[in-house]
Amino acid sequence: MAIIDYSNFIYLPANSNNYTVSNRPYSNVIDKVVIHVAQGSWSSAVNWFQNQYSGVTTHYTVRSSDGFAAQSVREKDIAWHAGNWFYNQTSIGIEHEGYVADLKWFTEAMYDSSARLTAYLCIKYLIPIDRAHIVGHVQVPYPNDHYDPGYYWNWDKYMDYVLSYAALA
Amino acid sequence: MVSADPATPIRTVLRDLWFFGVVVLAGLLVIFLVAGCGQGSPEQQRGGTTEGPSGTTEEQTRQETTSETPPTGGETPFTAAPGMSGGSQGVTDGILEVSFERPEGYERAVVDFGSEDVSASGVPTWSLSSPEGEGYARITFPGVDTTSVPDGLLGGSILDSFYVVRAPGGGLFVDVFATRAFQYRVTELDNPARLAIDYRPASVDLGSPIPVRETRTVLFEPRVGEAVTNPLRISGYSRNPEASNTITLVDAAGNLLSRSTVLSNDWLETWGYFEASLEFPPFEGQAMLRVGGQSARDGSFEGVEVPVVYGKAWE
Repeated sequence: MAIIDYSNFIYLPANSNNYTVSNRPYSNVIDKVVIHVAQGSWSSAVNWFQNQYSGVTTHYTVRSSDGFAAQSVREKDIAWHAGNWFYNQTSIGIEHEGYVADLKWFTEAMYDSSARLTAYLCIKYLIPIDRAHIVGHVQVPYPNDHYDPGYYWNWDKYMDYVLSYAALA
Repeated sequence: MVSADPATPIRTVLRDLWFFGVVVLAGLLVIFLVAGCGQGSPEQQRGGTTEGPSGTTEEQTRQETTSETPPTGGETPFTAAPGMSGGSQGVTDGILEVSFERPEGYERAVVDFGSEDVSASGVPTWSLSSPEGEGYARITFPGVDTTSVPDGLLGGSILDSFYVVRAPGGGLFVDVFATRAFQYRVTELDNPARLAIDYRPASVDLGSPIPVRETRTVLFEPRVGEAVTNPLRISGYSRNPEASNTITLVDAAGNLLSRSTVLSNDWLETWGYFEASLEFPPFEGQAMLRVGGQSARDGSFEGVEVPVVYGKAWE
């Protein structure tokens, strides 16, 4: 099966204090994608992940205006994003610029780019394309006080886009 | 073939070096004189500002009229008035730096303004809202949206640390924490435009415990040992992941009395303000209020713990 391309990103590495170096998928299976909303801007998120004291990062962050992404952590490494060590070990985290309570940040460009990225990851790591494996941060088990991506995130649209891109493979 | 006199280049070099030395010495003298005129001590700058025709004069006068301690030798008194304000609209939207100085007899935190390393032409609009006896001074800048420094240690014997926080009504505020009770004053400085907050120790005790601070959470309400009633107002600021703050109240036996989650208004660019109202049932003895976030790594609690009692006054 061909692997779809995802090249709409730049590598802006997080500070090494904010993730665990690993050798996935050989060390840990990658079987989930976790969808986040940043509660802030793309640039401030990427910058904060580069701060040695932040204690947090995702693998990718997708920009609202044009869907452009930054990769902060290599997929083989364990980003600290889910607030749950098991989920961190077995997932890829995608942050999205914006605020859970503000619909205008969830643009077509961001849905499209993020869905293409998720499809690329699902094909690459053989992750089933369903809502049990492409999850919101809110779905991470207790203890979890997060409810992103929130009410305004259009899951139906997003999953349709992921399936469409995956079908191209 | 022409053979050059080997001494000639050496003489030329020596002459050139002598000339160069004279030029360098003259240059250093000019730099020294300019520095002496333009970079006087903070006190010299303050004096100039006070005597100038700008709005700064008004603020200095207001400080003096609210003084409880008679000034000596022309010194601006160390009693700022909560509610005092100053600055000019539209001069800048950014904080560049907060630094520490230790002039004779007091300690000073200096807020520099500007954006992208360019200093502002003036001090932006500011207002003071520091409650008396609370262990900190709060200066709000309603027209300032960005900061290059979110927090830092000041390291003085009385000046402890500062936080730059996204204000709930827009703009930013800066909290300057003390180690104990203090007297203070706020002064606008020129060239470059800065705001100075001067602290010196006071001979009284603080009216309430200093807000509890941890790595990514600062809790203002309630304070340690406070008697709480239902509903409990909670406020503070944090930098917890995705602005999410968890609040739990646990009784002495470890039973969960109440739990809530509240978003702060920032976490990525600087500290984000939050407030919440927590409902809880009556409890006996002491309970523990925990406010903070989860470790993005493993979900463990990262925040502040404040013991509270039910319905009694501070002792």
